[in-house]
Amino acid sequence: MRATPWLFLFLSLSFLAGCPTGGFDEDILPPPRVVNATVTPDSFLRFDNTFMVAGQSQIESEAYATAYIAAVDPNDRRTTLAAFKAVNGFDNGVGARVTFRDSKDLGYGRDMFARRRADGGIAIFVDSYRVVPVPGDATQYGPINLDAAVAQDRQFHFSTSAIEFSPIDESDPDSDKIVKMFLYGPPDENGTQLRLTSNNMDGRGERGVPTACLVCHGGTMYPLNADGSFPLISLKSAKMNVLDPITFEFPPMTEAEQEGPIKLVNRMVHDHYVEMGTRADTEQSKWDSAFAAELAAGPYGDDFSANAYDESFVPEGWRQDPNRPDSVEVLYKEVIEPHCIACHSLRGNNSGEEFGNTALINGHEVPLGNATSFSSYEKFISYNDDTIDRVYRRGNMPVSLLNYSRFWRNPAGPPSLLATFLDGFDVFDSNGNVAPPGRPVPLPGANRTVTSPAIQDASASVLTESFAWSIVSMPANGSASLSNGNSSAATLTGDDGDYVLELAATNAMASTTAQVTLTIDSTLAPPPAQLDFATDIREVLATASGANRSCVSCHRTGSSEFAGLPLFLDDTNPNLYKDVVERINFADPENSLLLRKSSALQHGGGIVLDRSVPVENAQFIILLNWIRNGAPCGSDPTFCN
Amino acid sequence: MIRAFTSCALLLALLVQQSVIAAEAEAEWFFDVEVSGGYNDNAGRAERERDIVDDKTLLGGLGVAFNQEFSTEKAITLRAFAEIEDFRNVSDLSRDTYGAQFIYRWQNALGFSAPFYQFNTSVRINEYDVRQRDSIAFTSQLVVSKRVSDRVLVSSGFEYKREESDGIVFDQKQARLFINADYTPAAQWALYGTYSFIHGDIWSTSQTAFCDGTPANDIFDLVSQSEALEPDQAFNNAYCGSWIAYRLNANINTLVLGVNRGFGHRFSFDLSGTRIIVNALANDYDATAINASLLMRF
Repeated sequence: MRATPWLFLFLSLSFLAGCPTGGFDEDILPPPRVVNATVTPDSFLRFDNTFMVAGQSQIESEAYATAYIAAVDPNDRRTTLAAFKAVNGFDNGVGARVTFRDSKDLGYGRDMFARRRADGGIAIFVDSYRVVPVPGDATQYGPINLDAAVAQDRQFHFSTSAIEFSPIDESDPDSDKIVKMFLYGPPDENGTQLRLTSNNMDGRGERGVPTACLVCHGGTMYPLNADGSFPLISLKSAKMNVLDPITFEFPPMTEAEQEGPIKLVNRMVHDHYVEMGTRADTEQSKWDSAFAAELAAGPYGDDFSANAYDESFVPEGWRQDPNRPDSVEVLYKEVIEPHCIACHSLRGNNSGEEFGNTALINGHEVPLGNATSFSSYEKFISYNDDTIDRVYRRGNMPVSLLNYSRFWRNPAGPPSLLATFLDGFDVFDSNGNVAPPGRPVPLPGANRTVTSPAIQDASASVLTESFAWSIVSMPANGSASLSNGNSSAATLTGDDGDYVLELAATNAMASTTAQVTLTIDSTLAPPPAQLDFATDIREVLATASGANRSCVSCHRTGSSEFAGLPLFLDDTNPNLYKDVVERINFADPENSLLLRKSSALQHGGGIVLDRSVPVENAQFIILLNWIRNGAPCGSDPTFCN
Repeated sequence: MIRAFTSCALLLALLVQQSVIAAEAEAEWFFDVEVSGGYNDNAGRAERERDIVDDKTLLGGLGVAFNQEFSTEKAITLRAFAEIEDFRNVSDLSRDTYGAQFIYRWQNALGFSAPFYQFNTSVRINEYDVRQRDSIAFTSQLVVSKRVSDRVLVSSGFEYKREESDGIVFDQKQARLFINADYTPAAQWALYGTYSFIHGDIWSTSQTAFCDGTPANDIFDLVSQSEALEPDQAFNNAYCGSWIAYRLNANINTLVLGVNRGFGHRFSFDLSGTRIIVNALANDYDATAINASLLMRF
């Protein structure tokens, strides 16, 4: 680096005075001001709840990948890509081959080969090509990846993804077929592609198999069973994705000739949706595949009679009607279809929807138990506040880096369009424009009743580099102190009464504040630190009655009336405590399924704990306090082995 | 590179002529000062129009040389020098350079038209505003010159250059063949031309993503053929978008045409134009540079 002063300054000044100015190419502009990189969200390809225990994710680890592979390939018949091909009959030919780049996926150049298995299943493998001009720059998953795929240039052959829809029990061809996913490395010196347990998919670090894949393949990830085996619900939750040529880039002059193979693949994918829909209704967390099947078949005339993919197709739940706001179809085509629907359509289950818990939205009586599928505008917009929070504040949606980057490429485009549909949208920059996430999001927690001293942990705050707590108000004549006020977790000590705390979260871009009310009640019984699952939480689960039914009254083992539920909360469930804890997000307690499902409309059983009702609010606080105190089980050996 | 050769060669030519003319002297010190202004219409050495940026430069140089004649046929020169070059648009291309040079020249026979030879080797330490370009360069050159008439001097030579940088792209090796002709139409005037063929590494720069974030879709050949790639810090700091520097193996043809006007024994003014045509597997580009220099020697 240069260190010396400009010895000839006087000469330069006099010389340059005579130089012409300008000469720049007009399309090359000075660099924009860039905020500190640390404020860039980085939760891509991550599940909301990673089940962090002692700093380790319980759903993304070598052990997790190993357990998954043991479940989907118990006899090690697919340890190499060649073996996978042999198992799935690729030696007998390929049904369809498509070469493309999916600009909303991971951005790789893809060379895809698909065929139907002899048992009616499906097998697909995809050679992925990735050209990263700037090493370490995860944003450079650009269109030249397609050139590498077309050239089959092995120096850029990054990995091969393989996916198979085949019987869960290889020895029983009549057993339910499930989607099995494998990842293989590039060819070694012998041309062998070995199976991997993790990969750096987007330049943001190693991500484990299958978790990172299943983020967008409809997966629901739970920690391993007590015996180390892979959980069945997670195993059966994976789905294949439809090929959406709207977001594809094709090699020159090949788009028309690839329509046929794409249709063939989409037909296969559609058929596996239909087959998954025929699984027994009693299957835990059974997925309703109807919307995904509509998305697969709709562009082909609903019955695949059309040869060309109809890019103007809009599913029924998103079509304009007099009750929906104007331009709802534009919202679908410009925002939902390119950025949301591929993943969301594979999520959710219909458990409880038949019980008639509906919400009136835009004149539509909408069951919201499966709202996360976004199968209609009403289901999508029921997440109005969540959408504002996740997309515009936290920046953890869209969930893949490339999709996120595309969404935010033009803030005046899709982000602003979506914002016009969101009630109460208020995330603007200083110029009044919609801007990408970057400002800190303080998450001081939900209001609750506690005993003194109370630790209030706000480490779930997003994009935050420093914390500052303060007491905004406190009981008259009361005394209080706040310690560790400059850390993520402050400790409040005080007399009984309501305390409003304010958390200022700061990063290089800005400082923002949020408040939480802690009510200190020295008579609170049992105090939060003494709450345990066996005694207190089971009681809440059995008595919460906001929707005229308790949690247990529906979530009970073997019930034919409430078949298909993902979770059993009655005492006959031998894994009761584990199953409940799996619905807890310790990194972000208020974002735990246990709290969200019980207190939100998007629950087949309706709102069980309505915080505006004192009794139910007290039960909600018991759950919250228990979670914030580590969710201990207690000592009852029946539940706490 | 070409500009540096031009002024350096000119200075050396002056020294050589001095040594031949003043062969009776045994030892002598020289001090030289150069101030130059230049313009390059393709500072990033890019092929695609969208990547081409021009730039203006200002260079100041100081040198001190010790000349020792051992006989009328043999002499050596030891020279130390320092340069500062300032780029106006891509300011991080600005550099400080320190170096030393050893020159040995000789004639096998005396006579007006007898050829004289020169071997010189130099080391240059270049410090830029971005560390990745910081480098140390070693150059060796063998030149043979001959007076064709009292107005024409022709030279031809071979040069090998190796540059080790703090980055990976800017590690360069080049071999060069060149021929030069000086024509003196009148006292104090010289016209000259140099043609060079260079084979070796070149660095160039290109955008991989544009200012709106759109990735470039036509650089696969460039990336796949490049021997090294890295973010181009100088261009990233100067312009929006994402820029990479890359190294390719290339054949380079250059032609320098110039005129030099002397003022007394200590000053000369030099004006030259350089045309550069580069052929590489994935990057054919050309550039034109114009340079004006004021040279002083004491």
